[in-house]
Amino acid sequence: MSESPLRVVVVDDHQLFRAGVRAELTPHCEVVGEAADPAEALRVIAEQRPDVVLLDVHLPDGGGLAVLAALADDELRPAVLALSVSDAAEDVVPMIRAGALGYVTKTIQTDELVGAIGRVAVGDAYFSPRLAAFVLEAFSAPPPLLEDGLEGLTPREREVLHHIARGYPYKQIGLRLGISARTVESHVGAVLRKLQLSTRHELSHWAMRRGLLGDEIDQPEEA
Amino acid sequence: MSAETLTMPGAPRRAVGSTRVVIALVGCVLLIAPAIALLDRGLWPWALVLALAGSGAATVLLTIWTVRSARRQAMWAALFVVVVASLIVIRAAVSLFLGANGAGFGQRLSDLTFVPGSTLILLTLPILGAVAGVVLIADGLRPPPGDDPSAWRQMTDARTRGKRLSWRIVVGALLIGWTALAMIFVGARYVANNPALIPLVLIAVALAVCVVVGTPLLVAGLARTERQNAATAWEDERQRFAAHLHDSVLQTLALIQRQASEPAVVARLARRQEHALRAWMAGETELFGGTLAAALREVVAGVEDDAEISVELSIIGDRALAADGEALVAAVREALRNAARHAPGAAVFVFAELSAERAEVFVRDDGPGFDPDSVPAERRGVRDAIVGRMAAAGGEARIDAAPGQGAEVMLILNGRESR
Repeated sequence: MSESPLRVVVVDDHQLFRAGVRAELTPHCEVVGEAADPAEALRVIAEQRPDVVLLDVHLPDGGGLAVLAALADDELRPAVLALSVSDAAEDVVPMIRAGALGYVTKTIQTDELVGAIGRVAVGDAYFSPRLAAFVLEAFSAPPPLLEDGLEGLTPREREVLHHIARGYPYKQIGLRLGISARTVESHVGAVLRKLQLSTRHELSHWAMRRGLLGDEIDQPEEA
Repeated sequence: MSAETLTMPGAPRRAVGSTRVVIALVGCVLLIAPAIALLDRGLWPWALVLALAGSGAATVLLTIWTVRSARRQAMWAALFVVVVASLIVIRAAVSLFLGANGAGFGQRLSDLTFVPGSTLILLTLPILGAVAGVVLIADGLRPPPGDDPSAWRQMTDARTRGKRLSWRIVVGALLIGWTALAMIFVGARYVANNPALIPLVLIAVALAVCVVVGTPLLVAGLARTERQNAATAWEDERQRFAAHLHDSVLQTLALIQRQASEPAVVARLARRQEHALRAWMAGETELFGGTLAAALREVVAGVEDDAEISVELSIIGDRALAADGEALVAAVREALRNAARHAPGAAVFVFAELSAERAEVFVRDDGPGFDPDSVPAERRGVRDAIVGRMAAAGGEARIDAAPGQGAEVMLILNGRESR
């Protein structure tokens, strides 16, 4: 990460926010483009081929989900880190299911944000404590529906998520559970894949309970 | 409707009792009409007048009902049944007079129950058309249904509905016009054959005019009331909004302007206000008042405000805030203050898993941590306060810390509260 800085595109409809993020990130990453709506975002991404896209959930013309849906077919698509002022699960979980590798709130500290960008840039998932809590909730509502070939979380995965929700960094989680930080990471990655592969059916109970039926959730193209 | 409904939102419901009486009266009238005709054929004009008046009133009532009711289909069906029933009654009364001169009771009864089809259809179609027209016009006059009661929608939606000429009104007028034409032709033929029918025709025309003119007027009046109620509700909601924003956001903005030179204070005020506004917009303050999750949010916001720390709070599930929940909340407050005191500037996380069976809250700071076996006595006191409080509430508290690895307080409640 140090020899060539990560190239980042910031997609957010608030100009002030983009400027703020650019200023914060500049010592650590190279902000190669900005966009205010999905169409512009796709154009800038195609031009710049960034490593990471910081994507706001709430955008005009379809929101961050529209960008993720359009990127789903892209062979060279960049890693996407969802960014939102919202802390509602119904905003965040669909973004992850549509292909974002992580989610952070806009109040995140700069060093945390840089860390999250670094992690998704190499293809790892970044779960903030709150996202981990959302995901635990999403998976805890319906019992695993094994007859459909759908998977719930393994006890270990649950344990890892639980620790993330409590605010433990990966290294400490590894220490506490007697596994390596890398293994913690792979558990998180497995959870992310399960979340993306899970069908509407599996999460619909949870969605219904929260008063949202995921008609805006596009199935990701591939795992 | 009466004047009281104009001023009191929700008052139309109170009219239900009197509506029932009117419906009962109309039903009686419709039953009495054929009875009179059966008893003495000399009374046929009275029977006819009663039948016409009854069916007209029933139609008006059902029209209003159909227009106001949420279950439209059922009301349309009822309307249809009443119209057909009224027609049978009227037709029976007519045939009693025209067809069964001097016949006995049995003959009159059979006239009542057997009605020649062609005349009935001839009468039914145009009258049904007219009734449909009246209903359509009335429907076109009512305000658009307030399907979305959400105050937020009402606040943000542009209220720009113009007074367009609804297709319902046009179609309704066409239907009534067509019926009038048909009735004139049919009526002319009957009257030519039977001059005695002239008073009957006049009564029918008068009633029809009353129904056609009166129903839309009545419904428009109801619609006005509804609109007025909606406007009042909207205004109330707007005032509630304004009052809330004034007490919260404007107040905070004023404070921020005054203390603009102190970034820490500004940040704290902004954070506090953000918490409050979010909770209010999500309806949490109203919906979840009195639950453990709401109390936790409140206590976290309070500590963030007092001590200058920033807490990441995640809550799964919820449960009622009972005595043990209050002890838990107090313990969380203690743990947060402790973290603020001993790990200043460190990130603090609160994760709560709540259900009726179990409540677990984890308060963790990313600070320097400590060795639990060698804590100074005064810190042990705080710890005992947390542990003792939880034990008294029938729960437990555990403290997990190591030098360089932060500190975590685990607070657990089992089962439902046992006071």
